[in-house]
Amino acid sequence: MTAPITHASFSVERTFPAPPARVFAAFADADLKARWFHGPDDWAPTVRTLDFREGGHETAAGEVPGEWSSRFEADYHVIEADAQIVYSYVMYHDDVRLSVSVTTIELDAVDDGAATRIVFTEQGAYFEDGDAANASREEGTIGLLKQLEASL
Amino acid sequence: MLDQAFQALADPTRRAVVERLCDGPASVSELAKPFAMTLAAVVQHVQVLEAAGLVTTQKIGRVRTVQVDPAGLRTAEAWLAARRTRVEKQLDRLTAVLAEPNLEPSTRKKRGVTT
Repeated sequence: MTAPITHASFSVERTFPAPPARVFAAFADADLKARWFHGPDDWAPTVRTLDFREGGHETAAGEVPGEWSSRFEADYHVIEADAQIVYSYVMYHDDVRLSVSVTTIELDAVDDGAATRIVFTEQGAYFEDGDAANASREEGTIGLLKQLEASL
Repeated sequence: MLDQAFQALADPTRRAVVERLCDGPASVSELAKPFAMTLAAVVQHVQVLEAAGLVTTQKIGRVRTVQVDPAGLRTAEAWLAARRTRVEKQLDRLTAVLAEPNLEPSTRKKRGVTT
């Protein structure tokens, strides 16, 4: 009954035209973070807490009413102002556990401090049951598992 | 299979082999040239990639030719892309938030105190 786990890692790199302190604040300040760290446009938050310190916890739960819900439960492990954020999190979809991941966010000043390059890296353990829920519900991802099966 | 694909690609030499093969099929000895390693070691890497469904091999006479398996590579890429999309969308929104000059938290907090 216990489904196998897929392990994967990916990185996304971005450069923002804002100094590191400002980019860092967008992660550290609950109001600012709520403005960008959320689900698709029709997703509405239900629970939002952010205790941004090492050992602190964050919850970002929400739903597309009548369709599906999501829940992000994170624990902060490393916080270095304007430089580094490391947290682990569990992601749920309709209360099905999708994944357990470690996320690292590395900030670097570029352009004499006028801009900030971030490297957002996620290493995850992805559960197959959750994957099925994710593929069929989240963002209308089209039968990814079927494509997968077909190609294997 | 997916897990094997990501584990296979976690090794820099094997990633380099896949990159080389994206330019076209190659024999094992051709693959070995840019790397300071024995043919046997290259064969081992190729076997790992083949077991993961990322490359296929074909022996013609005494030469074993290796080529990418596009379906295998696409599967791994599509799976990761679906997970990357969520982060990309959030960072797009972060870009928009950072583009607004009046929303620095320090500014708002100061305003909150003085008014």
